Amino acid sequence: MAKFLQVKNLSAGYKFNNVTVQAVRNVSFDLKEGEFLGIAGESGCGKSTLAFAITRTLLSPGKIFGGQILINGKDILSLKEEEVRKIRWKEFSIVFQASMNVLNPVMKIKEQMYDAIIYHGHEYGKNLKKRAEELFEFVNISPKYLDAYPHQLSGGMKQRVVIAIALALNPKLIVMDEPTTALDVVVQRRILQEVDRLRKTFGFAVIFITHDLSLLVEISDTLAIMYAGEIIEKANSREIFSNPLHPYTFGLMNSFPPLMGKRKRLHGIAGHPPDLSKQIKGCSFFERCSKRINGKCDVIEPKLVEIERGHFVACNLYAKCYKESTEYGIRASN
Amino acid sequence: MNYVRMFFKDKKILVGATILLTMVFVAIFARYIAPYSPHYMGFTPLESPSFKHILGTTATGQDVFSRVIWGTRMSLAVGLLVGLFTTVISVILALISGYFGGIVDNVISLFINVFLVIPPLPLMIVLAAYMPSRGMWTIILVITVTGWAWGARTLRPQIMSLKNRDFVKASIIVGESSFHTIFIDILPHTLGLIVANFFGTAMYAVISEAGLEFIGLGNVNDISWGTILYWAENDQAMFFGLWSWLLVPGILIALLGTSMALMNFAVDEIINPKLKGEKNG
Amino acid sequence: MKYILNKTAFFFITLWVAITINFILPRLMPGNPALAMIARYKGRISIQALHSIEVAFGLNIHQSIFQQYFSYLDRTLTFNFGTSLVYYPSTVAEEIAIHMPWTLGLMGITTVISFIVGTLIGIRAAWKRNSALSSSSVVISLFLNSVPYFWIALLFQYILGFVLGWFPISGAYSLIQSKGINMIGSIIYHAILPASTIFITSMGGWILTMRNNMIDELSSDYAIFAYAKGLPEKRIDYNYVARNAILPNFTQFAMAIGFIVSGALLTEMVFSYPGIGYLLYQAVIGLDYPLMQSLFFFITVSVLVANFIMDMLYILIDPRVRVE
Repeated sequence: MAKFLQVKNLSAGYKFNNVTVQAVRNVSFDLKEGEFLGIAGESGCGKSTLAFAITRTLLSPGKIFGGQILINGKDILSLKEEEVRKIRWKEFSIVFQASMNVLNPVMKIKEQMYDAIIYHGHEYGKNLKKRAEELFEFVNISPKYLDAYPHQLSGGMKQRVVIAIALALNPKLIVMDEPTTALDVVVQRRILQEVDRLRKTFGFAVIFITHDLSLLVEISDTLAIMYAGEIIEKANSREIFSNPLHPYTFGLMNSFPPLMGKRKRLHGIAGHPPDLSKQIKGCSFFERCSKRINGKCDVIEPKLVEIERGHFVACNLYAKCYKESTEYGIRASN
Repeated sequence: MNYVRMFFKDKKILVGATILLTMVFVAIFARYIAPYSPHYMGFTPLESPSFKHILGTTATGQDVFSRVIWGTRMSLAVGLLVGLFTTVISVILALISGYFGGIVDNVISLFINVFLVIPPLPLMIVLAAYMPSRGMWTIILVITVTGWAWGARTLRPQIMSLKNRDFVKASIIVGESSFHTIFIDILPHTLGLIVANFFGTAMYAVISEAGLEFIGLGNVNDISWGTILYWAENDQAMFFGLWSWLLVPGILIALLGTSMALMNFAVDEIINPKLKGEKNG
Repeated sequence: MKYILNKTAFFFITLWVAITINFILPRLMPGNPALAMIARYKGRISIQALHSIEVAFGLNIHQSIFQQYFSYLDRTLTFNFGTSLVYYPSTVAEEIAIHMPWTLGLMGITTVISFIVGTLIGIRAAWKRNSALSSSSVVISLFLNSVPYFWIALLFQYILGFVLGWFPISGAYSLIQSKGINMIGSIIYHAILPASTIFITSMGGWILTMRNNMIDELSSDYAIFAYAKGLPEKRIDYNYVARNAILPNFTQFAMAIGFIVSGALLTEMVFSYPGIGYLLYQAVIGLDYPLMQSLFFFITVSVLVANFIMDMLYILIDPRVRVE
């Protein structure tokens, strides 16, 4: 399948009061058409910033420091504001965290649905209503809510409405930034399943960002783990689950109590993430890593490379593999 | 604290503070700055500005410039004192209302809203008219009665939201007394807003004092910029073409008011940095 | 609906407070208020005037203070304010009726226009935060907000009226041109200076608050979502951001109108414009307590009514206060 999205060396963050926070550091990855990529990481690891950057919705004091974002080969970072506006919602759409506040409180829901369609030139006229009802059906909401105001809907329903709006122009990519965090677990699961079903029906790619790994493991095709602004591991989700290579990922996997089997003592990961406003020397996980190599990991910054087929890791532990693999001519991901 | 540094870098603060401090200086050293006694009535009346009388003379032969210099005292004093009193009242009421919530909050909120809606000038006029004596303290009292509500209204929601913050909740759970939680945990975080309110209300007081004096509700024998305007109007300064007598005190009132507004605005911007101009990224 | 009930209750409570203030104040003076009044007038007071004072204060030595209070309440609500001292033998109610239309016209129209224009300027100033329009409108608005209303009135009166002679210095209309079209033209001509004063000074406030509200709303989640949807700038500005930013203007209207009324009153005094402000000024000079108190009550009622209207209009623009 063709590569739909290519992110190359993207760096982004926030600049204010003489402080620069590097929230996204030199991130690169590819996305195929229809692929479900889950990006997981703790709070503050830069995943939301990544989502905003990819969709060019990173607003002041946020800034994109460098890199490229290629959609079907075209770098959207090089486009002018008006050019981007034209392809917004048609090529990609975004569902935000806290979709509670994402709907305009003084406008009817249908207006907010219609204008996404109207302003991209797809004037369906009477068909607007039909299309809106159709979209609502996809997400299992009664069309009577089209005439309602946002405050009359529950959290879960608002989230569904936002997803419906995100689908309005049949985009090829939907970026979802923690769309279910504020909802209860039952609703979370249901919505996730609906998204997956829609994806299989319409064939769009999804980038799903969350701090809750357990949600993603079953549904994602690929999982990427972010830490301190970098992607430190990326692989097929089954692979990550059964064979986590990076010590951080390993720690994450072992933080979930299994439903069955012997009772085990759980280990968290001691310490806390580094300050992103400062330069980080060497590996960003050094302080908390139980497998760190003094003299190496605090000096050499590990690059994200393909260790096994389709499995990328950024860790000095596998540097030998890396050297070996370049010797044998296996391509590195960057 | 970073705030202090930000405070001093802001141009608006520098301008506002300069004006304010200059006026304080003039008020304190009025005796040495004014060329003549403000009460002396022996000059030729209704003279236009000249070297001898920079702003001309009044209808009763007083030097306008000297009166204006001395007038700085009362105008400043009323502004700052009213600011002080209203700040104390509004902080106390807002703290009680915001912290204790429930019926106490409902009652105090109602009280605040009622005093916000009642138009200030007519109330001040009626109050001042009934006061047994007329003078600076009457004016201060009257303006304070109508001016405290605004500060309380802006402070209360902030206190209510602070109360829900984790560190305050922690303080309550640990068992600190209400006094401790209110004054040591919550209050420091509201200082920015309190300072902004102080300046806002002081500005309101300066303008209100001028208005009340202008109508003649103060003691017309006092010397303030407002009373100077009172006499200018009453003695038909306009018809004699004495623009300096008529207009200069007003400019000074506006300057003082603007200096306070600038400080208010700047403190607002520090608390809420989004108000500064920024380009979208 | 809860909202309407709340606002109505507030209306009556505030009214009650105003009436009670009027009732209590004369009694705060030591001694019998009526006697104190006589002392003020140095004995030169007629029986009718004395009676008028008693009516105005609700004094009746034959009643207990509670009975006095209730009959005072009753009389106030039926607009029985007594006789004016300054305008004797006219009743206070009559004088108010004569002068009110001038104020309503002058202030009413000016306030509405300045609200609309100020809000629109505030919207433009917020979006172009770095532009000349934005910074200059902020500075100008700040200055205008700090200038005493009556001083701008004096300035206009002196420069545009006296020195340049472009506009009349005082009055509502020329006594010479008292008929038909000429009269209307004369009225408008005389209204220009006072209206401009009120307009300029009150607009500053609207511009500032609207700009601040807009800036807050521009960074809200729904505004960013609208941007992400690829909507054109104009639509986001007006339909999304401004529509929300204007809401606080309505809720703050109550406070704002109190100040605007005060400013308008002073402006009338400067221009001797025969409205309520002028009447109030005469009452102050002449120590006409019945008139003063009644004007306080009347002005408060007017402000409350205007405020109530705005509260009801708010229902139209914010769906959240409507209940199914």
